[in-house]
Amino acid sequence: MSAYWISRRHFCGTAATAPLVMASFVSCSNEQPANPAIETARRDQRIIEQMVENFFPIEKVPLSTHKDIALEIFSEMQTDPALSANLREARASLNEASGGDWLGADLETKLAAMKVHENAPWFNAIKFRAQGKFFENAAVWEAVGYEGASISEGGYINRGFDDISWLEEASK
Amino acid sequence: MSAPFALSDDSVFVVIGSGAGGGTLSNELAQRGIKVVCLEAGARLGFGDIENDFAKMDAKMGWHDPREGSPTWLCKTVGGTTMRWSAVSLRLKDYEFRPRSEYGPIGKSSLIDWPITLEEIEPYYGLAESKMGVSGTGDIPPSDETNNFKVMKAGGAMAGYKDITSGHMAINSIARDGRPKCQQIAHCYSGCAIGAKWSTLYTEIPKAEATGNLDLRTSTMVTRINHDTSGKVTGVVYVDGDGIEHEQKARAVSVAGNVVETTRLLLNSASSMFPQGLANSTGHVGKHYLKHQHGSVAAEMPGPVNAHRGARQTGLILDEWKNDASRGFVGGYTIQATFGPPSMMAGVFGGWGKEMAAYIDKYDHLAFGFACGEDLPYAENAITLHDTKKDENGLPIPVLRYEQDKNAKEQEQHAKASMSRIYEGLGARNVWSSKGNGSTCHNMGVARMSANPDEGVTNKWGRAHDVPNLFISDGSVFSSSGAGNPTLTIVALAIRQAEHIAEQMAQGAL
Repeated sequence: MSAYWISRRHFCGTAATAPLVMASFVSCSNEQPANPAIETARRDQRIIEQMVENFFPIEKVPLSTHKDIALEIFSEMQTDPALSANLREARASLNEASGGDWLGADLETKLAAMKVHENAPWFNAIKFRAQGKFFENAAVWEAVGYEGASISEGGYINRGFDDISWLEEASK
Repeated sequence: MSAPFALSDDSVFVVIGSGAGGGTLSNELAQRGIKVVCLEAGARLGFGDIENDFAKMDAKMGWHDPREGSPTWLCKTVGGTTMRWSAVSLRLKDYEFRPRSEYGPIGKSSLIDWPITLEEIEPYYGLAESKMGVSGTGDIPPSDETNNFKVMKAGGAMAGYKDITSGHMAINSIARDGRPKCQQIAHCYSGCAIGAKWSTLYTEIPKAEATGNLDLRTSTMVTRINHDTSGKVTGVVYVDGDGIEHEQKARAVSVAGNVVETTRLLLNSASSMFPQGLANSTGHVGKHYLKHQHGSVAAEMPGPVNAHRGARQTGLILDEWKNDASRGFVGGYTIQATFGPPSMMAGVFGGWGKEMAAYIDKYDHLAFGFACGEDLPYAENAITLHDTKKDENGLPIPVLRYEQDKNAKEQEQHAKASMSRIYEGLGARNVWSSKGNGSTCHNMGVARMSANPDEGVTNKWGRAHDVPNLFISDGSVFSSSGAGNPTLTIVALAIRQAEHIAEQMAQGAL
């Protein structure tokens, strides 16, 4: 369990399970930070948010989806020591690669810093976790045109599995 | 209902695994009046358990026991990987049974010829196709053409390809054998919810049970095969779902654990008589591990394709399935129309940021093809036991080592160029290629058949050279990979093996 996690629990005055405490933190995070640990946690959450946004800049997907996924990951980090360690490495490595303040850098600098580390284990661990959530998200499916489960609809036998209409023209 | 046979009954034939090889062998033996105990590590699902959700189904039926190295995509459930497979069912070609003679020596490859010919296995291919309901064979019509295949077919024709078909799928193109016609549900990799796709779960296993000759024991992990002082197998030790260990006596044993677990079981059955592992006097068990070459291409087409609608895979271009050294590599490859949810596309084509967004943003306009090509064997591509890490039963976990060779890399580049040409001819706006060697559930070659016992593990019947009543019945026995997806050949070999075993038993030779 990370130090800032203990501090946040103390700050928010709750002993709930991790996701609930996380939600409390989000609420608390709008207040003036009580100590440096809280500020670090807040910045870490923003690092994850912006990493997720930069991983998947899909125009059709609303940014609220990225934020929800980042919040889930950040919450899971509280009970996943390996993922928490990945975040600490992300913070240190991205800051170093962007002149000390990745969050405060412009987008081009942020992306360049991520590119420098794209083969790092921490980078891929966070990306893997984010990718699993992003592409199983109903809002993402709807945005890109994936229709999900079809059993209840009787499959696609009568719903467009063979309805392509432009091939004849393209074949000329 | 399964027939209960006593643990002490040493007249039974024990089959380990219930997938394409084990499930088929169990039924073929049971139909011949032979008492079979089939030990399956996973649970038995019903149609009500099938969901159109890959992650949930992977949790229900995927093989998640610890292992290290090259990834696989296996299943731990009754039916094994026939629950997850794409159902592409192709006969290997004549030259692919004698690749060493056809190709000659190739670097450090350990390539050998099979000890059987296409002519010998051909009748069993026919039986397998009929059993599995392979579309476009016999009197079974080809599969319905999906949008994704229609794109490949049109582009393939423009590129000059002639051998284009929507056949060779073990998914019912008509209602048949008590199973319905495919409803294009599109989640084949999560198990077919209606049973249109062939799986031993709802074909071979219940048919075998109906004979009264099959005792299927689920959630049973076999940990060891025992033998007597003459070197003949006497039974197997397994741990049941409650963690209790049992020994099932046996007249003979077949292992069909989809290559990885087959290797592990043989190596973990080492004894003072077989110090390198059972059936491993020549050290070939686990070696010559084969996976197939896989290159994929996605293309943004001029109009919507909605390729996610319909059977996950339908349709093939077979013109490149030949040995033509002028292409710069040996062996051939097939081109297959396939598709998947956004998660699969991201997994295959990778990247992040704008690179990934470029193709995900065009998801509904994407066509997707992949190649499946011959892979050459190397002794260094091998499955071994971990030196220190053990599973919950205290047995060493498997370590998989696999590297693609120069031949496969050149073949992959050729295949990607061929597929790009198919889509570009139709006006594709963008084309993306897969990154790295795609990893599939095509596992082959770790207990290969060989005419010369010094070059392999099993003879032409899949019987261990070292142990007269031990058989291997999965893709482990492949002497080479060929380019065809392996399941049809596994099933054909299992039918042929069952016929041989029954004859041997009738003659008192087994």
